[in-house]
Amino acid sequence: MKINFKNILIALVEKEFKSYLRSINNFINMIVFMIAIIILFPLTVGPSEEKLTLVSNAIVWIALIVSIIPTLDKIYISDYKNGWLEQYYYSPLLLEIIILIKCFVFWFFLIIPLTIFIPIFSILLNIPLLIIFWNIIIFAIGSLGFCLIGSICSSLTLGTKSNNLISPLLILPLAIPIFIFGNGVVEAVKSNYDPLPNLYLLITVCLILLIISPLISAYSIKIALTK
Amino acid sequence: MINYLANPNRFLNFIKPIEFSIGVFSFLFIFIGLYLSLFNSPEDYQQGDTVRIMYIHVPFAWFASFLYLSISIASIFFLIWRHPFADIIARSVAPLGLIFSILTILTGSLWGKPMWGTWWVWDARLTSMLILCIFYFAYIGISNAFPRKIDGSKPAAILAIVGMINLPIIKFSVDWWNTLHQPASIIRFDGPSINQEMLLPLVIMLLGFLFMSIFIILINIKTNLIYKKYQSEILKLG
Repeated sequence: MKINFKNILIALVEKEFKSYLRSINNFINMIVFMIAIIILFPLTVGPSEEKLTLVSNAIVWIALIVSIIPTLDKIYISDYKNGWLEQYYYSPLLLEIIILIKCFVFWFFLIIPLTIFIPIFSILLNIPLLIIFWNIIIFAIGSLGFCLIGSICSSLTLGTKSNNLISPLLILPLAIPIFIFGNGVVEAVKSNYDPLPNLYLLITVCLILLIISPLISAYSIKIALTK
Repeated sequence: MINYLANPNRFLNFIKPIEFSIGVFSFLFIFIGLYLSLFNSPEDYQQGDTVRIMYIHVPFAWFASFLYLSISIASIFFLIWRHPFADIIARSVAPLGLIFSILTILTGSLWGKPMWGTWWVWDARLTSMLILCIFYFAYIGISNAFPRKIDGSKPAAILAIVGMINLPIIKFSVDWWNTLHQPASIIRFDGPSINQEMLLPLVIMLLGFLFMSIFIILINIKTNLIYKKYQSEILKLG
């Protein structure tokens, strides 16, 4: 096989996909967690219709985000433990590009499938169809930002004693713009305004992260490898 | 000057004679400032006596953000020139900044209850201050999370630089959004809009807090240096 960019790219994507396929119980854990949150909310808020319509959109978002966060800080940990990261570091491809590919693969194979569950949960909570449609779009865009933030946090916490305690603290403050603009889109749709300005701002945040995140992650992975 | 003081031993010799006087200054300024603000400053025409919370709330808030700025600058120095002393300074500043940001939120909510009728609102200024507090927690958490303490320095420095995005948001949040928190009244383009009689005790309190934070940071730096020497002695003993 010739060694060029295209072949390396295909090999990387294939390797990542296989590793996600083998740890499929991670994905199942996420779904079980989401279902648990969706069931718990109506039981704790009370099943009355008007209370639930106020918070129903937030419930779906919280279920998605809380189930993603535990996997988000483990993007590099298995590669770090079995030595793949060092191979990436010495490969002719830039570490930043490999990180970008890893983030995209993580996003595409682990997060995008979750969008299938948004309509199901939304119907359970009586969310109107138009908002379900916008929710799927926002989640598809915003979750890419989440993956890039998760890449920063998981590379910063490589080699810690207990990375579970710090990583939510690292992820939440960085992810706040995504929440604000995502919520802005939904609020605009609910009150019949134009949702596009907020959507553009959301895309802007994700694009900025797309530039910054691989640089920071690559730098902190280099630090983690030279310890 | 910076190069000269970057050596820990020279730094310790340099601060030895002035350290005590900095402590005395901070005590004096805070004492005079507290007296002026509690007994010798006018009441606000709307807020009455509760305006006196401002004389500690504003210094806490300013120094919470200034100390974060100093952590970030020290982190930039540490990442570019790899000088271990910059890391020690950043680590020594962090606990004080955390305490200041927590006290900002506490005094602010004590002030907000009588004035706004609520302890807390999800207002841009308040939320960004809370995020600053979380960044301090994350900084301290990540700098102590590694088995060898020194391994945490570089990730923590990167985090401190990333968290710098939050500082302009705190400063300009009251101008960019319609907030319940009042807009800036001291650092403005058209000069301070605060009453002169209120400005004097506030400036004295700010000076007192400046000296106090320098004093506490110097103590922290000395402690961290001693800890580092102790660790290297242990390594020598094997």
